[in-house]
Amino acid sequence: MKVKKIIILIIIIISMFFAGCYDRIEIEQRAIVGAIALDIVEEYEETYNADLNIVKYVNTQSSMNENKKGPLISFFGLLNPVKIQTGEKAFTVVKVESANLPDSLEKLSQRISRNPFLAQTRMLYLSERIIKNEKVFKETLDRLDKSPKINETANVVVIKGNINNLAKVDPKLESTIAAYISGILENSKTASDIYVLPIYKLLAIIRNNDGACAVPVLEIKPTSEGEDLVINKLVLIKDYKFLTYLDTKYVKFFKIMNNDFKKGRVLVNYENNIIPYYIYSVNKKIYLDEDEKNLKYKVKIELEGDVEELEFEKEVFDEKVIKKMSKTIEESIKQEFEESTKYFQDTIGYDYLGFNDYTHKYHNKIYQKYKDNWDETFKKVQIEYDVKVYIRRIGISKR
Amino acid sequence: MTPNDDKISSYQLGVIIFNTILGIGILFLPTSLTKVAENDGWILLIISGIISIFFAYLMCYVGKKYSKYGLVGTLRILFGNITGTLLTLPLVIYFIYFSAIEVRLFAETAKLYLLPLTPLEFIIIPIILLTVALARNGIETIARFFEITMIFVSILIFVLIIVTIPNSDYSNIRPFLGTPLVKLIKGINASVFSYAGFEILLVIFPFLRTPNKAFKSSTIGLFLIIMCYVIVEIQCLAKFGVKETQTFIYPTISLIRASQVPGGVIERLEGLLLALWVTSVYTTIVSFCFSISVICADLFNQKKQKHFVSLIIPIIYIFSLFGDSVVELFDLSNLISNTLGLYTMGILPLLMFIFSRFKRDVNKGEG
Repeated sequence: MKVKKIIILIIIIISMFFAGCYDRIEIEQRAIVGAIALDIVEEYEETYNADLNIVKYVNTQSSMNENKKGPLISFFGLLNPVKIQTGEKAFTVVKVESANLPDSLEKLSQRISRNPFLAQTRMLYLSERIIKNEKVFKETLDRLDKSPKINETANVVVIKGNINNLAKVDPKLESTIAAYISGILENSKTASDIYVLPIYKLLAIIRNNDGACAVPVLEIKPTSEGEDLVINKLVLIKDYKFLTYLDTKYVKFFKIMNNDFKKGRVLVNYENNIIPYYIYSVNKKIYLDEDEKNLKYKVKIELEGDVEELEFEKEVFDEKVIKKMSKTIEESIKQEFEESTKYFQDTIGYDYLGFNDYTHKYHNKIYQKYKDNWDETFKKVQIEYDVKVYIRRIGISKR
Repeated sequence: MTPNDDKISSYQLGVIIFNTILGIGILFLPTSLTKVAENDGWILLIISGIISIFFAYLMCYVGKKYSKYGLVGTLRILFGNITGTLLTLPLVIYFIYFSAIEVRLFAETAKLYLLPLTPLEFIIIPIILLTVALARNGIETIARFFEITMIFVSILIFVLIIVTIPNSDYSNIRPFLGTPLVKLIKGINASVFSYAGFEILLVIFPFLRTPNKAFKSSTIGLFLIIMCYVIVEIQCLAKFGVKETQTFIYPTISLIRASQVPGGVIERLEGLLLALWVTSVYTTIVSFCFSISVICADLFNQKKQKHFVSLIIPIIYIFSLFGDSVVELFDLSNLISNTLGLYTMGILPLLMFIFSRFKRDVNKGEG
């Protein structure tokens, strides 16, 4: 009996040890991929949403699947953990051309001495060409969705400008560009015009909205001192195809309507002064009325915030002034919202503002009547805004 | 002091029910629910939970009445020797298949997320070998082990749920009851089997110190499971929305993957989830192995069940290798649930209940 027990014990211990060994990998053997940038080779055609041509990629080479030249170009930003501590430039960029994302990892392994590791990836950059090519864009989304290895909380941005120049950007206070850009995106918690979109959220939104989504845009601009970048725009995608860029002035509105606004500043013209109103809490409620084949929405928005400055030696510590200011801010924001809504309804013509979602969730019966032709319905609906502004604080001086 | 008589208290029964039901199923559940009932998956869960409690009641009613005879004995009393024995066989096959699929699905998941280079066999074999070690030792040891793991599993579930709360949009569970009623009723079929595991109530009665309290404690166990399932389902919907949840194969792991600990102290929580979920899967398999061994011992009129544990282990291993792809494995799992599962969880308890009502009158007549 004892012998049996010992044998079983030995088998268990041995099998446990063997199970661990297969996947043993030392941290020095890993190539930690901090960021991935994806682009397409130049001869690829572009598809716009305006004309519905599907891309035709003519492969002039043989029938071999091992396509050495594209269509995908991937740039991997590999981190060097040792250098991060010292504050030097702690990354190196490797460029590979491949058929798709898994293939690019394979090709990356041919170029570097370590094993690519995607679990710590912070950023995913998509070039303009990728989102203008439905086939490759969908393929990329599919890989992101299926891969158990990619860090799903990594942020996605679309690069406007030459993606090759990204590596030339000076990461300012950081030692890697990925840390620099994800730091900017982190600021979306306190800044109103930065929109942040992790991979999992991109996939959820684009799937739930049948291919419609807004992705933050990173603009690379050449300056006299090298390349510089800014993130304050969005790109709108419709049916998995590029639709248009959304200007900075609409981003705040877009974020508030989609419940993504955390904190941020609006600028308001008050007695010919442009004053900053810092919003730190938004409460949005939508009401719906239906009359003879048209929908009427009433959006009630309550904002809480601080007025940060007015004018030196001008009295603000007065209820009348505060009320007047609130009124002005309310009017100004209301006008801004109405203008933005008009832009979305008339110029863009698709519902990126969540009215579709709202109607489905809260007025499902009404929604069922309109759902097949929602885009047309959205263009016609009446949207009214009722903005209420509360000024809670005015800083530390009365005048 | 607890007497050392290889019997368990009603509290321990609740723990066993909880641990047996909570297994690999919760990792896949939201997808199948959202597929049939869209936003109303959680309502479906509650309805099917209540149905499970009803069947647990039937099992407890019969079990209480014939508590000293065991399952095989009861079936023989109710249906006669031959029919009674024959009725037990599908049960044994179901328990074996269930354990096999459980261990295989866990191994597949672990291989995908945690151990990509490890052969599947090396994940399966240690789990089932360890199962032998515990299941041979009888119900009391099992119950004590379960009590300890329950604390860890509860903490794990609690932490993981808390972590997934930020950035969730709870309006996603609306519109309520937007699914047609017929579709919802059809969906009960899919969700009721997520509670598979409480059927060990059929076997466990001879080991209870107080059979009268069995229903109460198993209801509490089931209720906790319903709560866990509903929360996971709602969190998945809140994080991903209906269409995205429908496409996942491992929705609960995706949910954890999409969550971050504030400040990034710990990242990639799915590794942690899977590493600790091993215990949860292990407890399920132990329960089932124990049940099979008890049934087999009764069938062959053996006093000790422990030899049968060692005998069925190779069968579980072989069964666990059935199914070429994950898709086939899921189909197989559905097939087993819809046939043998339906028999074990629904038809047999109902038959036993009806016959036991009838039998009482006969007993009275005899008395």
